[in-house]
Amino acid sequence: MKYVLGAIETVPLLLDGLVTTLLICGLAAILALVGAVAIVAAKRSGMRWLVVSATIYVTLMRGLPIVILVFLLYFGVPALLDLGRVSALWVGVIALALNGAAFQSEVLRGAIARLSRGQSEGAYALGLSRFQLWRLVLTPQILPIALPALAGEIGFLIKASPVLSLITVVDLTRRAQQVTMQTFDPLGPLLAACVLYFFLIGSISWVSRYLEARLTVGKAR
Amino acid sequence: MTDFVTTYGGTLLQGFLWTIILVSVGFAIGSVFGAILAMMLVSGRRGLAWLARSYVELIRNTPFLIQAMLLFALMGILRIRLEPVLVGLVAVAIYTAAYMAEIIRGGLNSIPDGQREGARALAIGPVLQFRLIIFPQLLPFVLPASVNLLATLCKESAFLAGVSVAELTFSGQVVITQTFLIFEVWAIIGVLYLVLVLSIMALAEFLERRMMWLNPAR
Repeated sequence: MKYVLGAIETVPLLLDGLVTTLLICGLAAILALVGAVAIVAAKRSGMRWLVVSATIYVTLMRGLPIVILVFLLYFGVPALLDLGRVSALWVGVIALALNGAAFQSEVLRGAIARLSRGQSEGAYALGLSRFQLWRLVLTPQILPIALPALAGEIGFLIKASPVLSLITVVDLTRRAQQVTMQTFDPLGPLLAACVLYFFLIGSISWVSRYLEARLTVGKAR
Repeated sequence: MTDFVTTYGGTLLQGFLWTIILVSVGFAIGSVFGAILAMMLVSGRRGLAWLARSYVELIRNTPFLIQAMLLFALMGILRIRLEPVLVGLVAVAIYTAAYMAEIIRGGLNSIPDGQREGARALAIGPVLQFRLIIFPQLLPFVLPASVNLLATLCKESAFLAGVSVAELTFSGQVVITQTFLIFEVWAIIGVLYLVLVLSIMALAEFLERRMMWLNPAR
């Protein structure tokens, strides 16, 4: 018990790592959502090459470990193009966003697939433009369907984010390792980081479940 | 290129094989514990269910790399000397057990209670009840989901390079320190992972389509 309290005492030392993790994941999640919308638009564009390249992109991202994607972008591409040193932080954000975009696009696609075709036909019959159709009719319906799963995807993003500690970004995981070196306590700081991750990811999955319960009330299931 | 393959191909292939062994054996062991956890979750006994739920939530809500690091630190403190690959295997098993428990629990919950009651009314014993009634309905739900879990494990196992387990990603780091062919090596390793993960995902999709008609829910 005394040991656990000792481990909790290292939490303040980890806070700047936690902030970095939060910033990276928040930024990556927003960029990923923008990317996901672009992927869905590409898939629905009807232009053959756009559809094919969006599909290939999503397949690649689903099959490639995030560790390898990060290593390719941080070590591989700069070596190939002779760029010298690149910012690990930004590479990390971009890699998480590229990965997250593919998974979030699947969520959005699934949500759109659940809407009936009659909605767009009705909207066009009422003289709504394509933009109005999406803004007024479809998006307000897609969001409640997609939101719980999107929150879940942010949870996955945070679970993947320790990959950045492998490319020298001082996130929560790497900060815990540094504190381990300073305190000669191999377990405490890691345990404290684990607790922080648990509450962070746990609260997001809690929000996801809450949204799911909240937003599906009154709907036939 | 031929020089590269003959000199370093072996190292990469070895790493690739270790990844496959690590993931498949860890998955097999973890699945057994996952099944036990699932039974605890649906047992109806408060204490057992709470214990299993805590384990599942703890593993599912923390990053795999942190779990692996904690496991290695714990091994050091307890002075247990194991090959890093074996520790990695244990990490994969610990991770699998939690996710597998949720998959099996979901399957068990999808079977209406009336079937168990009916079986009992027909005096079918628990073993026969599981074999004839529960298991065949569990399979179309659990099999595709667990194959998908296997694909996820292949991807997650790359994190084990961060704790010096000699798997595929780690072997890439080794070859790069010898050749400085940074982009080429990561590209080759990426392709190896893609082949492995996408074929497992294709298998999951095949099983899902194949077993759809067995699923009473649809």
